[in-house]
Amino acid sequence: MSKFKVLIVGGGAREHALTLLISRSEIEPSISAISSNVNPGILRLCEGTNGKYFKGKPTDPNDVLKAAEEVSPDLVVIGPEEPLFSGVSDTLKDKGFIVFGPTARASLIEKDKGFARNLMWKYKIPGRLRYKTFVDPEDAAEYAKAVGDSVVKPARQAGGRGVRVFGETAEHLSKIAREAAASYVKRLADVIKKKYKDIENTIVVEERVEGVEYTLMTVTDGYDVLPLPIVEDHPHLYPWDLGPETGGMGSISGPSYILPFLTEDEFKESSKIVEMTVKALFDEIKERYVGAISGQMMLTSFWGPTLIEYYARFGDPEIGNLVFMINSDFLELLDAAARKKISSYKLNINENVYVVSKAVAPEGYPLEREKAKGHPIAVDENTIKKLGCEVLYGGVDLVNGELLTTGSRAIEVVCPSKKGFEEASLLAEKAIASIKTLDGYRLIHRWDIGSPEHLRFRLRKARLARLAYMRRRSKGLFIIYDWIPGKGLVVFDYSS
Amino acid sequence: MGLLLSFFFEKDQDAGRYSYYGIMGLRHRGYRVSYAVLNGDDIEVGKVNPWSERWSLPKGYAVIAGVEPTASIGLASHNGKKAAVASEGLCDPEEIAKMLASSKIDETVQKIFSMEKNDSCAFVGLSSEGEFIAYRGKNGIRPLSLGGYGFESVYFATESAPITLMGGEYRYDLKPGEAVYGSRTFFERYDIKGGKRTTSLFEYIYLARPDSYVDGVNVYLFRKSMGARVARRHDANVDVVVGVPETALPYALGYAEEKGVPLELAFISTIGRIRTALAPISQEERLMALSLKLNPVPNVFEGKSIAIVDDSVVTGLTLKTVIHRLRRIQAVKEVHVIVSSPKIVDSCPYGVNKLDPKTLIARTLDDEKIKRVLDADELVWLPLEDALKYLESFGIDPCRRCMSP
Repeated sequence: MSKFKVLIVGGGAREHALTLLISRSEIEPSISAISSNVNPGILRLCEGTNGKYFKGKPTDPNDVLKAAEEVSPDLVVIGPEEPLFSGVSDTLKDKGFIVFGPTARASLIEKDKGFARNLMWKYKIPGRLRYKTFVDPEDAAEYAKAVGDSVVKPARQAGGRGVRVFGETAEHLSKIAREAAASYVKRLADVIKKKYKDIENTIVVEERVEGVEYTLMTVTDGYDVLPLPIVEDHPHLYPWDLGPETGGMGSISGPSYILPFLTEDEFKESSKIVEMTVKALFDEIKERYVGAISGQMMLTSFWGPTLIEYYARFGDPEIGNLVFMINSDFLELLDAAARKKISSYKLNINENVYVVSKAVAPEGYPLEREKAKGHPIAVDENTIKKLGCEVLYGGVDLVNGELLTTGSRAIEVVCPSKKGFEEASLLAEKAIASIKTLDGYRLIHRWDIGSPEHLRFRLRKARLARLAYMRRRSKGLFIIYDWIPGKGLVVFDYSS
Repeated sequence: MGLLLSFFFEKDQDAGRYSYYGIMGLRHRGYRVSYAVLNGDDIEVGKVNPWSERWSLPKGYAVIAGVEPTASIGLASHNGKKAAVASEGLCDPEEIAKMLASSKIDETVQKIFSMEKNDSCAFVGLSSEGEFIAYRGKNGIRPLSLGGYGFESVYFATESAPITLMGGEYRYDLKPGEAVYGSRTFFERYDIKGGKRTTSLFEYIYLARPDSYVDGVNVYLFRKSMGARVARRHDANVDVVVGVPETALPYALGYAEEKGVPLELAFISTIGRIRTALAPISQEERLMALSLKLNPVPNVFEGKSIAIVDDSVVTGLTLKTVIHRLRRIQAVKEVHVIVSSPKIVDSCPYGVNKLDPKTLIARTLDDEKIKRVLDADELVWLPLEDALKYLESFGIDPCRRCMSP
């Protein structure tokens, strides 16, 4: 009998984590991969399973199709979002391949933020925010100025970039924040219009909410939704949740499905939101969503679990945590989803482990990426393995035997502990000590992820949000009344 | 008597407009503020009076400020690199600015930590290369809190209220012997072990705003608790409690709650919440200002035994005025003066305050004579140990060099 063959599309830390999870399968697959960089972690797993490594553009359906035709995989797993948007899944499915990853149409749930928000309102999915989409940046600027306390986002997913929060935590800052939002809207629109031609809307302006963020990753075949353990990402670049927004500087998960600052009910409600979304998507586009769909959630004082954004993929760094949490056969899960047989799959997780992942990035990420590119970097994997941790390669490229940074988060370390987050965090610190640039260039990471101080801070925030949303619920207050003197009563109805 | 740093990660943000509110949040600490603003690779310095009608800061993406007279700004440049430092205490801001402009940061930080005179000081700094630095000396006399405003900025301030006023969220207090050095692309921490948390007790008793945290301690709750503690040590029966405006009100609340006696407002200010003790004015003007702050509410205290609660006694001038008015206009029966802090008997060796020892009533007179001067029937001080015990639970062994043991 010939070996089961898998083709991985993408070459980041997420795809490395997926490859690692897949490589542990009892099916003993042969794994091949295609990416524009050479990821040494994925490369090694491919070589170790007699697979092939293709250099090509994961976003180019032809490149990926060529690789698929050469390998003739039993399953193709698409990691990042951009290949989904450009129709790689569609092309492969048309040619009869079994693919884990939604079609271009279905992946609109991530690509088009207006589409996702509209779906939530149309199908009355809980956890939704007020928003408005704009084609004309002038209109968006005017709106941002009028509405205030807003979040300005590119209407199209742009690698997580471009989102800015113009918080009016106090009214005396309104004028400054609104002016800044309005001027930013115009600049952002220029950038987005130049870069992306595949969407009409340019800007989304949303209401700002406060609370504790977490990610719920799920796997679905369009019929059933299987939630994975909750993972908490840390989007700020610097410790103490300071600094510019990044794709995520590390994450914590465990024990079991829920993090200490969430409740069982909040986990269930979050799952329900994603389930309802998958169902609504089918009603809307008459197509079964196949792949990972993740909710970037926030526990807010208004709704409780609230949807900030959908990902049509697994989160990065979030999926890295699951390397130490998934006990059952992950390849079987992805395969079952792709073959629409997820209902019979039973997920087993490691119930008693705390996992901390931390990303290491070259200085310059994310605001001055050019500076962060092209630095030789070395990882002492043996030391890290001895600590019981895993290394996941991300924004690096193996060029003529030399490992170079590509400007993004370069490497993630993932460390488990049976004792708690603090031990896992300290292990990660030790692991990071054996990652160095060879040109002495500065690397940055967050030492506070998983620390008791940080966890206390999150617990307190979650507790306050919970008190507030529970009160609102107990009174059924989902219609907000605002009184503007001279203008009259303004009613915002979230209940219908 | 206060420091501020605001640094925005996007250069299009105007830190000056946010810092305006941060400086407003420090103005209870003094009447003149020096600042430095980073705009592109240029640093502009200046001074403002935050109590004046119209003032603003120049445009820029980062600001440092220090409240005079205890804080000052130093400026230096080396091979085109400029640095500005606002410092509090015995350290020399110009010397530090020079090091920041000319030497490697690791060496600079090591050197700063190695100089004994810097142990009691705190500073914030900026460089024309877009770097910021914040430092708290090894003995931790001067606190420095840190906070963030979304993904936009990082803020540092002597207490937490200015951070909140700039839209930020208070997150952390630098440890004694800790420095933070960063930019829009990196953030590093230097942690010299063995620092002592001898945060100034004067901060808690008088200097900070009641809506602040200072080094992790909620100032309002500290003051209320001190009021309650001194009430437990005061046996006499009183009919009504009065707090000397403005700082003493939380103490008076704590005292009244503990005693189960009503708290009444006794005086209304005509000139707002001016801190007469800190104003750079003559003794005569101070007396005038004090008088305008203390217009009595009529009739409430006639023939009653009252407890007058104050946060501290420096010259005794305020208390004297208060009691004199109540005696003269309302013929109060008994006046019990309750001071919610230990005796202040010396100026600060680290320059936290610039009190003149000659003017300190508790240094010069014994309790009997003070009572006579104030025209009080009783005078009660908060024992130092009560304050120490409270702060001990936060890991703080406060500096009380200006107070009697």
